[in-house]
Amino acid sequence: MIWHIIKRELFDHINSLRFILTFLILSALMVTNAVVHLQTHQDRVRDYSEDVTNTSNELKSRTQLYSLAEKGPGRLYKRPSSLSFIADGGEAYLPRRTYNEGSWSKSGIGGRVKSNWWLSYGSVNPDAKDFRPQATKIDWVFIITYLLSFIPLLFTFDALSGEREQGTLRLCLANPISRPTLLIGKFLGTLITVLIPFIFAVLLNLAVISTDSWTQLSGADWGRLGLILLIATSYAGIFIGLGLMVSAGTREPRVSLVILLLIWVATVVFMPSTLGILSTKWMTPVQTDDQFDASKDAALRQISTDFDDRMQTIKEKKSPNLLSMSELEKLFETSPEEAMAAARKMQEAWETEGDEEMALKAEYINKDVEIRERFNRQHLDAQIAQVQRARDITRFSPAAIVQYALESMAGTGFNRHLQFLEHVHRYIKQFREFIVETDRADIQSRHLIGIPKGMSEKPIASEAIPEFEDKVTFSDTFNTATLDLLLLVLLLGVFLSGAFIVFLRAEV
Amino acid sequence: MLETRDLTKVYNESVLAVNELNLKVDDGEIYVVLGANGAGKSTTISMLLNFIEPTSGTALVDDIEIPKFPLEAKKHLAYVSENVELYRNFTARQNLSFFAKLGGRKKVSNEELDATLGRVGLPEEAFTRRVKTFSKGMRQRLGIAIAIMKNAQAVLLDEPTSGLDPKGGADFLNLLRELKEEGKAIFMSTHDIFRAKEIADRIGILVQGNLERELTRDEILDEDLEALYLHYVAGYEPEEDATE
Repeated sequence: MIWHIIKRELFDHINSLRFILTFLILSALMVTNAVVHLQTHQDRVRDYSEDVTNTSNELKSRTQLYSLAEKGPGRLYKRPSSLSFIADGGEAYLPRRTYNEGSWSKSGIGGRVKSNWWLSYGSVNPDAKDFRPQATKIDWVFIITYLLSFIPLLFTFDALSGEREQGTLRLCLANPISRPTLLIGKFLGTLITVLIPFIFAVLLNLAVISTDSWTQLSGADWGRLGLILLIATSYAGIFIGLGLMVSAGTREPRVSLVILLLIWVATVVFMPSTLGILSTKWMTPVQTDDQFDASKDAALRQISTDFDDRMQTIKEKKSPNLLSMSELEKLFETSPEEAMAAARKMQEAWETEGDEEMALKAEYINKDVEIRERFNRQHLDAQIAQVQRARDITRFSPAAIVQYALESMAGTGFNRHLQFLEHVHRYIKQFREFIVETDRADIQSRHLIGIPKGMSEKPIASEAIPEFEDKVTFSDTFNTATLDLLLLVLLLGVFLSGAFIVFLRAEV
Repeated sequence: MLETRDLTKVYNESVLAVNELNLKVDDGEIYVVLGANGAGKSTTISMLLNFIEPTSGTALVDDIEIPKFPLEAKKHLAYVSENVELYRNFTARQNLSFFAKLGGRKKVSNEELDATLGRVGLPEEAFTRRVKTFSKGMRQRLGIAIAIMKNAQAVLLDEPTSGLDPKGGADFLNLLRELKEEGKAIFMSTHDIFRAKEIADRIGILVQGNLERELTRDEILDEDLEALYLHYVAGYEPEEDATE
């Protein structure tokens, strides 16, 4: 029975002008997307490969453990997704790498102290040179978000109100067919109608993309593609449910069309772009760069002063009769020769580096790195938390939910960036452990990480140095998309149930 | 056989649309219910088709209680509405085939479809024409073809002759007679008293939800139906003879 209704819906839709237009528009947009991808993806992949090779060569060229500790692993690059044609993810506005910093040195009472590297995340958008608004990216996200919400409404606004108006609804229900069966038939019929041109356009898109040797899709990528199609289907289903619900509750098709258009503009166009901005009004602002620098500098000054004081104490303990700087200046006025001798003695004492001084220097350097990274991380976490809150608020819109889900599955966008950072942090830990373990294995080392004389001087094999790998597995992408997938399924259930309730209560 | 037992519908707990309606349509009988707009004719048909739930009372078709077993009951009911629009992009054959399958028919051959379309008087060239090109009379014929195809025991017709030209109306009544001959129980609502008089075995006059009068075939032929209708529906009294 239900099959007859599905068939009728299909026949009716497929013979309509709106179906032909849907077919043409979806196909044109998908081909455009594929062509643009072919033009840009090659450069992206090539740049990434070159950058990674350079970093790797630089890393392998370091044969001393100290130079690894001092210079770090180099820039770490985010691997471009092979499915970036599906979701651009605003990658242009996200950093594509992390930085190694560590360039200060200071001389003083303890002799020269040179910094070790620390991890820095760079600004939000280090690569963008131009902040002018870009033309809309025609990726799958755009096509799905806008068209797979609009097209279902075009096919459903008159699905029940139109049939009620022309009397066929009564004629159908005068037969041994329940309202839920009729509604499910209409739902499935419309869903298949929407999916036919969409799947065709997708195949067209993939056919064009498959000609590109720079885009190699793995088994996991095909799995992700399958899920992306399911997400698109659920999203279209939500709007079919909405269309049927409004159509069931109105008597005239034009009234349901107006209501649905208003809902579409509000939920698909207005909410995703505006809710995030509005939500920032109620958020605690993240520190500005100046505030962040000021608080970090205060903490660094504190450990620097502490270091100087402790070094002074060590030196005084070792050479108790040394003059202070003011005493030296006074002596210089009265007896320059004596002052010069005293100064030489002072310099000698400063440059004499015993275990105690080295340990203090190592502690200072490591504390410096720890503070800088802690502040960088806190600043980053505050920024991430703010973005997360804004994203949570925009999740009132199904368009935002589907965008986040698609980005997660395609391995682009904000969630992907968080995965990259997680990989970076995991790697940094591994890299530092490698230095400590290698140093520990050398019994001649003083095991004072961070200073040249405190570490193993044995040459290290380049292949033993861990290398950064930014690999995203299927489960990584699936896990990040879980919340949005659940929300989509929930919304689908809500709108379908809504359609049922309204239709069961509606007059025929 | 079609029957209502104290069938009542009250809208919004205050508007009485049908009040304790008791009537019975036997197999091979045409029962016409007359009434003005808002008398409760369409509400009665809607309850018989389970489009709306009765407030109290019940209705039966072939002894199946419609509100309790609507899907089973609808297998025994065919329906022809006032304005049979049908699916405009479908041909007559496609419409007929679709509704036949919806009515429970598993397989329907083109020969059977064409035979039914021919029986209701549709010209052969119209079988494969889209319904949006049909006149009201042609759509009405197609509507009755759908009812015939379902082969249900009871046929409900809601103002089926409104808007039909005299020939179309006459043809339509002939089709109803044929269905009657086949033993169908036919329940028709209308305010067309002339066609009612011509075809009905019994007539019920519905006023504000109450069945005010029921007439047998003999009474229909004997009485001035128009005066009776005006009396019940509009409250007109026949003019008294001046000589009396």
